[in-house]
Amino acid sequence: MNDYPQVLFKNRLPGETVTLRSYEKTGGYQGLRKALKMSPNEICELVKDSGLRGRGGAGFPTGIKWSFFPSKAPGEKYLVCNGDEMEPGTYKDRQLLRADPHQLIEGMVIASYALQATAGYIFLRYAYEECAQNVERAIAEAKAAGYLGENILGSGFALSLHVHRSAGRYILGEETALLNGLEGKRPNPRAKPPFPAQRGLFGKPTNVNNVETLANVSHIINHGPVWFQELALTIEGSGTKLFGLSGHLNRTTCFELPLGIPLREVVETYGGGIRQGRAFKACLPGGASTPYLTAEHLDLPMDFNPLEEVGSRIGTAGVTVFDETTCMVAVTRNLVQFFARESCGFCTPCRDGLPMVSWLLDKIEHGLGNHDDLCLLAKQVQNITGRSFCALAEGAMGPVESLLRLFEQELKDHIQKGQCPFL
Amino acid sequence: MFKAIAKGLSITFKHMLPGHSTTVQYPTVRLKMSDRYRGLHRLVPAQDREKCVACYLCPTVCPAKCITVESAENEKGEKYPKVYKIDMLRCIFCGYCVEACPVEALEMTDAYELANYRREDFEFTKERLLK
Amino acid sequence: MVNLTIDGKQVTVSKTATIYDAAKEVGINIPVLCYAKKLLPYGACRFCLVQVEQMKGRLIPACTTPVSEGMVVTTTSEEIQKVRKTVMEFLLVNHVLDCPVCDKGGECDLQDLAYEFGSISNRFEGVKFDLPTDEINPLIERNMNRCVLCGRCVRVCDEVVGYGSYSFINRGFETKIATAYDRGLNCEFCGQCVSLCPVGAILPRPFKFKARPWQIKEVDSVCGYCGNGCTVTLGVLDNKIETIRFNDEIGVNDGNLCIRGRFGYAYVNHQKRLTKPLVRKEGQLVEVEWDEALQVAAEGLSNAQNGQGVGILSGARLTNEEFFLLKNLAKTIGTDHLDHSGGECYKGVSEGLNETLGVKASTGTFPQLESCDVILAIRSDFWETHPVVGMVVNQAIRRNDAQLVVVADKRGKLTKLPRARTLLTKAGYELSILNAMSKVLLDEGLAQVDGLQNLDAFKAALSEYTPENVAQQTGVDADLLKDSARKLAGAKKSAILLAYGLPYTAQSKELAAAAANLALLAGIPGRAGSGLYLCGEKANSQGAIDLGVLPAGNGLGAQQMLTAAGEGKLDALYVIAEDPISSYPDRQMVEQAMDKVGFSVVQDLFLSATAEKADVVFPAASFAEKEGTFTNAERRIQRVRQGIKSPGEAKTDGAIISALANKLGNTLSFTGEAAIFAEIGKDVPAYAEFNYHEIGSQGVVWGGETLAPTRRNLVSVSAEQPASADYHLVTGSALYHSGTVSVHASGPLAVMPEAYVELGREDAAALGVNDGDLLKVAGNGVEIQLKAKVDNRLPKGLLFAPYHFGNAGLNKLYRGEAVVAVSVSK
Repeated sequence: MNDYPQVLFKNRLPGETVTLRSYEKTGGYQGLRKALKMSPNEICELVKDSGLRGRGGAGFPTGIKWSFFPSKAPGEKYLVCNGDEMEPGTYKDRQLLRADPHQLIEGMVIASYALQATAGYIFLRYAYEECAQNVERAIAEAKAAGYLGENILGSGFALSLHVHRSAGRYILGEETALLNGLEGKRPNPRAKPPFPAQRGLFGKPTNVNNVETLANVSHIINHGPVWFQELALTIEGSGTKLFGLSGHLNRTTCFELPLGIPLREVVETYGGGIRQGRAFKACLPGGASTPYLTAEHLDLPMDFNPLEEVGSRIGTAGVTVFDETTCMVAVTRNLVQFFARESCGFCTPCRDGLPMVSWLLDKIEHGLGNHDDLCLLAKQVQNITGRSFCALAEGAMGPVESLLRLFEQELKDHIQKGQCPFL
Repeated sequence: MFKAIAKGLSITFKHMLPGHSTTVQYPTVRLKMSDRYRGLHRLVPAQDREKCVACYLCPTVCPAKCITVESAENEKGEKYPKVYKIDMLRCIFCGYCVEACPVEALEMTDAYELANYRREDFEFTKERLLK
Repeated sequence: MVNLTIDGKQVTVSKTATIYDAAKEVGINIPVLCYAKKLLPYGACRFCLVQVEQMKGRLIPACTTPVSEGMVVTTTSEEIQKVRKTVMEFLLVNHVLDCPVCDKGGECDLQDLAYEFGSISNRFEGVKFDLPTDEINPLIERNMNRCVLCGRCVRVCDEVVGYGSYSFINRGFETKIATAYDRGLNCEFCGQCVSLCPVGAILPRPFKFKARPWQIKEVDSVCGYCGNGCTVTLGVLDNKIETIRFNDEIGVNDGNLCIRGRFGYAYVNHQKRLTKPLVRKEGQLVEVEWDEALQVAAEGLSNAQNGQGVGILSGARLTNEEFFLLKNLAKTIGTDHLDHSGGECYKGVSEGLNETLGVKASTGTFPQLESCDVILAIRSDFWETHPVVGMVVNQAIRRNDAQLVVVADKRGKLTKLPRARTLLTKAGYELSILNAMSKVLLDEGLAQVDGLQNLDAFKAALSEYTPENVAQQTGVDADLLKDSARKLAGAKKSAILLAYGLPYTAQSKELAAAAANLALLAGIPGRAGSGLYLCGEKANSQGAIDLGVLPAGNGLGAQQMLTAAGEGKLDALYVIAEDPISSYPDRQMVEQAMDKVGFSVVQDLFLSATAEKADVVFPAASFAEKEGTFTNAERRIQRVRQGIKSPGEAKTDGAIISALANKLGNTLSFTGEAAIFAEIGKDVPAYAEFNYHEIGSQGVVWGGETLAPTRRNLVSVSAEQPASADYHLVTGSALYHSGTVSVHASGPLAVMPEAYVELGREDAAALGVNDGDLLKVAGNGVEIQLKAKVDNRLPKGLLFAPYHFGNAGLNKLYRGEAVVAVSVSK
């Protein structure tokens, strides 16, 4: 039913995990063979040219991130794969690791070669036990086949990969907190600078990339940057993206779609339209920390820049759709409660500020709010955004900010009626 | 002119009548002091102890340095004044101590008869101040 | 260097500085809460947010952001003030406002910030916590309701102290700081968390409700315990030391203290302090007036001098000025029998170093230690004898990736540090390992041999000390030993640490010489930044050596004096600030000396076991009651200042010694410490360059930061074979105590109230011993009973007992040997 070229999901079969043999049949590990003949620098340049942007939410260009890495520095260097997928509404990495873990391993070997990393860690969410086992099995297979370990494919390059099961907290998705967690410490984010590329895991240079980002690498090597760019429907975008659909849709599964696909197509064609034939009200375009999109944005191409222009972000492309019967204040309150609970308690605005926003929304949702509370809410959004230590609190303010911007009337209705109008 | 003198004298004579005197027959008669009169201090009692928590703000602010506080820990682990003394010979009744008190444990009463025969009697201990 | 503009002012700072540091440089104070000078940047409280022209759009934390060229910083604007107000509001949401009963009130950072940024009303109905306070231990009280989660306690305990007793637990609004499993605090109680807590969440319990900060008079002095020479700021109220105040502005210790410095002051206020002179009349010590006591003492001493002579034995807690007066007194009496603290133990410095390097002191300073690449610590006890130097080592490792090598017979705090390499040897074999390391350097051609004397003889003497031989003998891995030697030689800056003191008397001179040999071969002495540190266990051990409180000419040393007295060959003993019966090796010998000697004078704070046997006892003053100078283990001369008056009629040692000298006919008198200090300069050239009044808050280091050796002489030393038995007992210092004075201090006593014998789990299991059981330890023909302490620090067959508790009688067993062969039974 998917008319678009499948890259990451090309081997995906329902309920099955690709083995090494079938992975190799569809061109698996060809990218690695090719990459090992290139110089690390050439790979970096190639990835830079491909325009691949981080798929974990922030969308930082991967090639540029790699170019900051001191690959020539002596001593240990690490590549860490961030698979702590805990953003509400996001489950793409699980789908990927369920279907095709070798893609990640091949990507990690290539990336490690490009960065001259000596060891790689795959940091997985605690709930992804099945994925962890898949990856472990794939690592064993790859090792046996000589794609991992000492002297990979006779190139002299050595790499060991380790799977780490997270203790499981949202904050672990923040790269420096993840590094602390990996070291066995409390996952508070670390002060930057020094950036992980200078002083990361165990004090050594470390590069942290998302699962999907790394999975893309072998395909870029295989088919070249131009092919990758042309996958996207927008001119500046490149590659495909895993869209995890959820919410009030008729079909809530994960699709691989090109970047730049209009939101309407995602919702109507792939999501099968809104449940019970209701109307589209809003959606979170990329996980819980992205500002809402409304019906007026339905024709927007789903890519990094167009969404940023309307004040939102593509994030992880975990699209959560809300129908017309949803109270957006309640939705936002629920999200903020999640963020307040998941705050690591490190910095003041996040630790003490988020509960306050949550109280305010609680008050408004229960009809106990007044117009001062609206002003206060707006002020708190300002006071928290950009003031916290890491991006968690800022992300938490995304939905609140867009609630104030897009659903002002709904907020006012709560206050005027003295109760939630959707009750 | 006569009229004016008569008017003036009438006021004078009026004061001679009983009940029109401004002099109070102290000590048989005592004036009710204004609410904001700053007389003898009083430590305000709470349920089972003094309200004072021995924060040392009154001796700190006291310009005459007449207040002595020594804090200690009671059985409940609370801070309380083991010693609280005011030397009334030094006190200038400025009321800063009352103003400084963060827990309203100290107030100034309307008691103004503070004369005594012995110097020691001017030292008001916690027990005396709590009365 | 980097140039930037802060609030319109041009600043030039080093490129490692943060915006906060740079602002401070030009006197602009950015408000902070979680920032602490000696901790790594953290950036959690968000008070220090500033605007940076180049990073528009968001506010930048000043305390974590390094400066960059051309930065334009604005530290106050309407927006910034608003943010700070909000942060304040956030913090006050769950902060209990119990300032009136909070001991921090008046010096609380949150209070100060609330005055500046706080609003009177709070727009949020906050949830105040009602967490129970942690009052289980007697020294540190934690009230987590007042906590602002700045993490300073967590960080200092980890980054500086290396203990790590705190961590954050829970998440979000419920986040709090707790110990493991949220139990009561049970740590080494150095009180660093107390010092750094910006609010009243962690407070010193002995000071609870005692006074308000503004009532306290602060007196900067030097800690009277170990040779570290930490600045302690006495908090004095009504002529009593109520607390030790945090002060990281001055001193060599950067505000760091151990339990002794922080909570060990209480002995000064102790009820049992001597307040009047005592003279023995009809077998009883009775209180008399000063004049009578002095008269009796003077007569006794001069009679003895006319007989077989007087021996003077001094502790190492006198000031330099008092040592000078003591030397004068010895001259007046006419005796050469003058020695200090233990006699044997400091020979590493006075003889070992003197023969090899021609100096009698450590060659580096403590601050240099932090930038060393390789640090070799001999004995794991170094952290116990000099805890604050241990903290410097910890920072060298954590901040500057130094490699620590510990040559030790037991594990300890040092061996637990990150990447610490422990060469765990059989007890008593440290010297062999040092020799083997020297041999490795020579054999592998890594040694710096230019200008070394006696090289050939030294090489020949080392022939037996091949790494393999030594490895077999000591149980240390030969490759690790070789690699450690190579690391030491290859380092740009390196340090060797060795502590000495009463419990470490065996082969003191030889061990120091072996360390000096190794240092010479590794090129350490005289190289800037490197150093060989021989650190005395008492506050002024170094001063005693500098001043020459040592046997002159044919004079007898401490041990010989005591032996002579015991044999009736000495007629009087004058013991100052020392309790030899409790602390010196071989108690029988000391007791016999005190019993047999015709006349004895003891001068001390307490009626010690030694004082009880004396004919005259003088009540002396503690370090907090006198003026003068101490010289610490790195040659730093620091001012000791009087904080309180002595109790009763007690006098300073200097005053007593002067009075006694006057009675003996010496009319020399000085107008004060400054005059004596000037006089010292005439005898000790190294002190001549300093003026007493010009000794600043950091003290002055004689001989410069790096003391140049005057000779480079290799001295062959060989190891003694320690006695062999199933169980070996070693003695040493415990972290909580120092000498025998701290057993009168309530703080250290609260944590370690009595003597114990420590043994490893393996031995405990074999003997069927549990923690707290009474153990019989027998050796040298003596049996004593000690409580057992079981942990995993000691290897099989090794027992450890601290020497501080005289009443335990450990020194009946211990006679100054490296290892005592003992038998153990339940």
